[in-house]
Amino acid sequence: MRNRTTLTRIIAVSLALVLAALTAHAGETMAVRVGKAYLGNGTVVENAVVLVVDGKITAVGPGIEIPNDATEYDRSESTLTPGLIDAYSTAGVTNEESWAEHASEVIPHLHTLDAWDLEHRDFGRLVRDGVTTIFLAGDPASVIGSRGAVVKTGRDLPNRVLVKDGEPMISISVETWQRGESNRQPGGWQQSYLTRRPTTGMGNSWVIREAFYNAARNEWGMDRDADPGAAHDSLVSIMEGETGLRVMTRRRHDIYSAIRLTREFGIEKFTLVEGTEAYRIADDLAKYDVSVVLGPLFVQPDGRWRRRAGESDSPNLASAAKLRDADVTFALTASDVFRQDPLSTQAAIAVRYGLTRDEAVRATTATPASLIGVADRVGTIEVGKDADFVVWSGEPFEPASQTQLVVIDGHVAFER
Amino acid sequence: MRKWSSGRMKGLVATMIAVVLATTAGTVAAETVALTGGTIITVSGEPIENGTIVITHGKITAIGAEVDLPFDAVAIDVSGKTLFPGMVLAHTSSGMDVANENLPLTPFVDVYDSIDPSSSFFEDSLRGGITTINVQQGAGTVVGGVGRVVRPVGLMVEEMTVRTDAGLKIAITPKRGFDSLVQAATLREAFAELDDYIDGLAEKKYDEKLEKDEKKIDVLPAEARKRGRELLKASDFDDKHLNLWRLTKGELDAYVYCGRAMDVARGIDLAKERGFFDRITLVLGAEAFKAIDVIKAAGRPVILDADLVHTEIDPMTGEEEETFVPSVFAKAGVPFALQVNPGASNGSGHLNFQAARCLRGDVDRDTAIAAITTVPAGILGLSDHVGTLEVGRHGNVLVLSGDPLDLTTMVEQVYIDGRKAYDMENDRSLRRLIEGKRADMGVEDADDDAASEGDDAASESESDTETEAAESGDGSGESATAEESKKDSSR
Repeated sequence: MRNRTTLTRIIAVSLALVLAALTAHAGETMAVRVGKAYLGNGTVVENAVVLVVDGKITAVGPGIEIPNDATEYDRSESTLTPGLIDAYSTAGVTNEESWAEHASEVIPHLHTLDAWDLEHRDFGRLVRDGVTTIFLAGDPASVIGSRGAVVKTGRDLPNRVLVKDGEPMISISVETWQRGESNRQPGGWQQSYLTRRPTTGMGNSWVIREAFYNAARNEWGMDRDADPGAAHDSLVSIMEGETGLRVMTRRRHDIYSAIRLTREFGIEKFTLVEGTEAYRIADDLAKYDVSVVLGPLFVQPDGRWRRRAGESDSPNLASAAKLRDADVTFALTASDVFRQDPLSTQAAIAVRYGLTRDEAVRATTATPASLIGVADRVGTIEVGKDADFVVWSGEPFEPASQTQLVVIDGHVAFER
Repeated sequence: MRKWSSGRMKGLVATMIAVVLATTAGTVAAETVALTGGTIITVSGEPIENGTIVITHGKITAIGAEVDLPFDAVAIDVSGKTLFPGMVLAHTSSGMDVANENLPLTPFVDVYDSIDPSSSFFEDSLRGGITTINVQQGAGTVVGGVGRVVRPVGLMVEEMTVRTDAGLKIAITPKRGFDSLVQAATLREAFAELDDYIDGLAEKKYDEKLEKDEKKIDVLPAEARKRGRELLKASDFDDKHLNLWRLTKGELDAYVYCGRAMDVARGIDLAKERGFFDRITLVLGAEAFKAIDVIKAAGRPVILDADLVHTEIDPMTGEEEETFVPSVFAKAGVPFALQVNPGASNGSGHLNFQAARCLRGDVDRDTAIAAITTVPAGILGLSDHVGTLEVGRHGNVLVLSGDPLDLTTMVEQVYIDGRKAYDMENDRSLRRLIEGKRADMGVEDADDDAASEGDDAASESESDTETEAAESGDGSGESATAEESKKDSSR
């Protein structure tokens, strides 16, 4: 098993190297001059120039000389931020049912990336909205869902996937059992061998417990109730802390369930996704080192299941500010409502209700980058990082501002 | 109990614009209110720094930097705040129990019967600084009922009413599942049937006149109908035909919904053919911007769709293309009014947010502000009453924490006709959305360490709420409090 993985890795790396060699443009230089730059690491630079060579940032600051051969973009009236990063997105799902696996509710060995159309027009929309990197998460209809992936939204296909084996997502939410309502086949009415989903919150927790229990006993060579099958490796890897874990849940007591269940199996850390009521227990989230991918922010819920889930009746517009006050690490997400209320609007609402603009920039760039494990490549404007950035016509997230220039890997992905 | 309006005017006899005056003698609370020290965005002229607005009996009586306060004025210090006219919403189908009749032709109904004063839409409007709202039927009927202009305060529609008889809704775009052929045929039939009805009525009327004058039949039926038409009065008509007849006589406004570009010319043609072109306002869908040339040539007022961005997928290439609709109108020099987006789930659909978004494109600040104040006021025939801060206008004033088009600006107080209708301090719903779930609902979660801390916070905020509820019983914001407590108990 291990050997095979190593071999795959070697092949993948060599392929990537070959492709990188093929696509590199020798000495291609780009310079962008802006009135103000939010670097994403808490620094704001006035009259900044960002210099890009071969898709990487080589210099950033106020007094930078622009080389003669550089393609210059003078946007002195505008503001620059790192490309926005959405740590939970459903963009590129062509068909709702195509990403909800019906054969099993425990599928941490499947890869979300396999179900995705990376050329879907959703990605064009994300680029226009200034989102350059997203985490493609599995469908919350699974109890222990598929492994996510980190991809860039624009650029030529081979270079877009940053992480293939992202963390899988557990769902302690109504999606899992609502789709199996009356224990029926999701999307259909017929009883069949496929109708094997939990129908209550109790059943949902049991499926999680059973999966980890069997995987652990299997790992230790002990008797187990059922063979964890292909899910074994991923489940063990999660328990050993090698693979991260995210949990999608909304209500206060469900978040506590998530903390309890993960501790039960020695899982020290997880990322909470959505977390509508996270603000209510912000101090405990800090105490248990739970990071939050927060959103979407709403007064009345939108989205497919959220509206009728009954799990969204205690929203809070100031959630982000409350998590900040409690020192909880959080990123903002537009989740599945990125078409109506994109990430920039989520940030706008967070700013309106208490976040500073720079905090909102960080919550949509550097923080999600580190939460999804790509902080070494994206999320800030720093030398050596990928040249992913957005030039806004005004202050970022202001309703009057729009994206003027979106650059991904030093290439102009969108220009207005 | 306050007496906010002079009562419901009988719209049926009103042939001119019926503006119900807001204030009458005998109102309680302060007669004269002075808001002092704020930055006044008058909309009609230059902003006034450190200015004062005096409102007497509901109307603005003085405005400027140097204003002598009347001896009896209740002065309210708003220094550091921005004063802005109460925003005007020219068209919405929210605030009704059901927005659409399920019959195609319902010119006989009136949204009066459908407006729900306790609808959360009005609470939201007040919170968002909208003080004048035109409630129109949805676009689900071919010819809908008569709309009504209201303000978002009061527990009865009469109390809320600013203007009765605010136009008929006509949809050129068919509702879902129906087609344009039937829609057009239904419209034509409605007017053809009206012609028949009027012919019959006119002939009868002429005959009656002959009989009364003890004359014999002197003309052919065609001439009798023609002469009879001159004799027709509103009281001769049945409910089904009255409003359509008034429409064709140019006595009623019409809000013509054109969801698509193809509907615009048809709506305009119909209005011209039937003689009510001078009274139409075009309510446009996002895609209708493509008919900008036709819209501009028509020169009639325009209300844009709440969805400011039109997204289209090229059928050949599959590429998605976006158009920022307000830019198209601004470039063409066509003034427009904006709508709120009831689908926005987080307040990003509010009217000033919508106006701020307009600045993205080639829309200048004045045009964006006009789209939520003077343009909609003009559409509603209330230009002399609302939409600007000038002497003689209604005392509809917003006290804002900053510029109306800034993201972080909060509506802190709303004065409607000189009365404080909203105070953010007393807005329990907003506080819940900012401070969190009401604590008494979370007490049973005692299974964790955080519970005890949570309970403390709970009892504090609860006692706060009680105090404020008691404080707000001073007459100001009375209805708001009542609405809130109603909402509260249902929570």
